[in-house]
Amino acid sequence: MKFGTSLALALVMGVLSLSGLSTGVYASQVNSQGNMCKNYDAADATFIDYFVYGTRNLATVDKAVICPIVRVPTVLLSAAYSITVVFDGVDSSGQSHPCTLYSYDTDGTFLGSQGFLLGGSSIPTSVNATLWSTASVLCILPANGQGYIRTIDLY
Amino acid sequence: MQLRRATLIGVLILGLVSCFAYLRLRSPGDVDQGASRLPAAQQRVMALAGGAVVTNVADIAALREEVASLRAELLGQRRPLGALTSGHGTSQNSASADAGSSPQTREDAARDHQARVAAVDSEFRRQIIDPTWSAAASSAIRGALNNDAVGGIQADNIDCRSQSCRVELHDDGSGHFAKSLPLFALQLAGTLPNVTANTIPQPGGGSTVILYLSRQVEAAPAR
Repeated sequence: MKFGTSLALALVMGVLSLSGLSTGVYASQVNSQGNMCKNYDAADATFIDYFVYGTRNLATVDKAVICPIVRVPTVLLSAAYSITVVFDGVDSSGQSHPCTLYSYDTDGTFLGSQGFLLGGSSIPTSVNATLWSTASVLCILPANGQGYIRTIDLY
Repeated sequence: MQLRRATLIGVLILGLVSCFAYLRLRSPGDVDQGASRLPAAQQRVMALAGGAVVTNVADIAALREEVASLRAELLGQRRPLGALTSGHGTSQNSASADAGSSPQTREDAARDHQARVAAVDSEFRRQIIDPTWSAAASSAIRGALNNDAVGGIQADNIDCRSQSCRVELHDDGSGHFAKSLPLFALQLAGTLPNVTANTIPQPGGGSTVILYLSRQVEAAPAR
């Protein structure tokens, strides 16, 4: 009986540990700081200010910033066929400011987008993509530094 | 006797754990897509039960569209599966050397996107017109187009139903449209957050861009 119990336990532990390894394959993630975002319009360059951890707008009116999404699709996973980001930002202006995640083909063809709100943090946002798609996030930052983009986590 | 019992226990546990591992290894997208279709189907059933006058012919047409939509989705889902089973792309005339060594070539990607657009178009055409929502959504789109930041994109056609709108835009290829289109989508992030685009090149360098703007949020794949 002792041998049988040991055998069963060994089987369970072995297969469970293999399951754990397979979970690791899915959980690829790229974390980026919000200070990679930059002004969308050339004339706004002097209004966009950076923290070590993020980007804000010092103009007296709202300004748009564009943030690249660094994407490393793993070809054999279904995650290569959509783009999901968790966008962390702060909006203390008291008003809603939109952001949109865009997916583009390599030749610059617009494939699709998904909108969300700055400050609505930690909600995964997804857009359809292909293995070759590139992505970016365009955000309206509130005036007078009343909000900032902190991190963009892609997974 | 004890050894046989232990073996039986082991086989039973192995079977259970194999089932568990199989379920985990299944594509998260497959599970998610299947679940995400349910609300749309439920909505259609509710719409039919709500007293809409639907003839048998209309039912058959709707079923045909449903089949076309499912076929398009299946095509899209086959790409990851094909990659797992064959390890290389299906297209023979790859655009680049890199693409040839990849499970999804650029041509495959373009075909997949077209299949997705066909499914979205089919879903759009199945919708009944909700006059109240349609008018409000059309107004929001016109407002976004007329926004100073967007700056002069002209819509050739705006058609809103009950869940989404189809908007035809013209890109003259000058770069003005490419700069303004993201701002247009951004203006509508709160009301029509989900956009699927189909670009049709036109002779002379321009293109027609058809946008499907939906009030339904794209579901994030399960991790």
